[in-house]
Amino acid sequence: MDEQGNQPLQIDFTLSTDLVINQPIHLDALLVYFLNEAGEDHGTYKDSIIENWPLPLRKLQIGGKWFWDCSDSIVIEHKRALDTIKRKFTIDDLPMKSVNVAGLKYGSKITTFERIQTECIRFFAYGNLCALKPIIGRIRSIGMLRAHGFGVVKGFEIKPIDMDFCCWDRQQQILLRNIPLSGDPFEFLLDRNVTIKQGRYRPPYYDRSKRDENIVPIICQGSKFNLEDVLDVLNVSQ
Amino acid sequence: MIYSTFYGLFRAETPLNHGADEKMETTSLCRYNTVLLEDGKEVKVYNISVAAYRHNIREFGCHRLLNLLGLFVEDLPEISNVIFLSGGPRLEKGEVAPLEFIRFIRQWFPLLDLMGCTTPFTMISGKFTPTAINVLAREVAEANFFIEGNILDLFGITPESLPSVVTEFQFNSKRDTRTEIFDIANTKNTDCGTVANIFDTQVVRKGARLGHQVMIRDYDNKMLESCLSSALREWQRSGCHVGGKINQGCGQVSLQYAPSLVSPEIYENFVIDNASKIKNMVLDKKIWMNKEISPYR
Repeated sequence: MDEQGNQPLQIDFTLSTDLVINQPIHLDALLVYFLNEAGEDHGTYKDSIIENWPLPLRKLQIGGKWFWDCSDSIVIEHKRALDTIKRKFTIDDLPMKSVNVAGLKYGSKITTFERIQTECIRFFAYGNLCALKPIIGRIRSIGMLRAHGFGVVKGFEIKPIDMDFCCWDRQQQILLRNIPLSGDPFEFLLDRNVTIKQGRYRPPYYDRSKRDENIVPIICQGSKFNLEDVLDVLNVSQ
Repeated sequence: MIYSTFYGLFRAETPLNHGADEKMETTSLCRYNTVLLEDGKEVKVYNISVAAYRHNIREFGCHRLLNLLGLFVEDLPEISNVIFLSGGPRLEKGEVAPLEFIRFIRQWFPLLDLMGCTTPFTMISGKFTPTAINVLAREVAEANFFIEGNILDLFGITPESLPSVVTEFQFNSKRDTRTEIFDIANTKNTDCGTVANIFDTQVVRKGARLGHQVMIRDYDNKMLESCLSSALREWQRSGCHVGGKINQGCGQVSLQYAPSLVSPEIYENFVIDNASKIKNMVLDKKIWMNKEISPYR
């Protein structure tokens, strides 16, 4: 445990219905959402666009850009990706068959989701146990299509574990979340098995308004390399 | 804020139909999810989409509200009609709404607070999370799923008392042979005399039982639970239909919740006490735009 009471934690959610996710869930985004909801209930509402939301997590820094030390979602006991759900957006009274879903006018109007039958979804976070517990206790459903009854949380468990980084698996040398890239992307790609794309590394992940400032090259989750090579500073002050 | 969880048990009073996109030649199949059991066996769980259920709550909740206010659906301006009956228009431009506006809507319209809605400039999240209405078949009941297990315990149903086959096929419609007279282009069938096209529909059997879970994030005075109770009562009064083919006699259910919901009086008394104010707000188009709430504050 460090000076601010942060320690590596494993957060397990057990689910009572199937899960719908098209890409991994970022834990920091989840915490911001539920802090926002709690703020709305208690009258201390904040704009989720604010970048420096004080989460009870450790900060790491690469190339002058800081990010939260937590992992993306890991689906445990994943039995099989089952059938898909199609969600129709009502445009006209067109029946499903007559719509060309591959392109043209209605191409983007029908979205397909994959339903996953699982019992557990796991996160790792380097944070303060006492401060995280009440926020995580608010989470009653997780993933997409929550209003349609998917991803209902049955219970959760937080326990301290032995890990030095929660955003990186030391044994398998795999990155568990997206992190910012420092330096030249082409130079970084040499002799490394990594995926690089343009994106955000901090909540709000959906915000594309300030394109130049916030959307930077990031190293994608699942890349294999040594994090300690690129890390600047540990535990940036709040 | 309190979190309330309820378990609902539905009983099919007539055959139920909720068509999937899937078809088997001339037979339209019922909607199902495939569930993998622990022994590797696959089971089809027939279900009614929760979107159909949610829409019923929203629609009949709106009708009840209008009844209490002494209004008709035709009286509503277009924007209020869309927001109350179908959840709201498409967003023109997403903005982060000020807390004042969100609180104002949540305070005066508990139905929109419960179900969520979109206004032309922002989206207000709902506090109501139902799960899909699954048919309780024997194999599903024996598989020890969390929600289904709770329903069986609460209502005292044993898995042995449930049927293993819950669907049947129902004659749906026949193409009228008289249309062949006008079918000039179709020369092949004219010599054959009568041409019958029979379409079948797969339905959930009458008497089948279905169950789901409902979660509400509620206030301390149980306003939202009371609002749900009011909408459910109005729905039951209108016949309690869910799913498709209602005009052909399908879709009637009877339902009960455990633990039982509070009475609708808390919500209905609130609406009756503030009827004139709420009525003015419902009929005002500008109320849904930002910064136009000041006259009603």
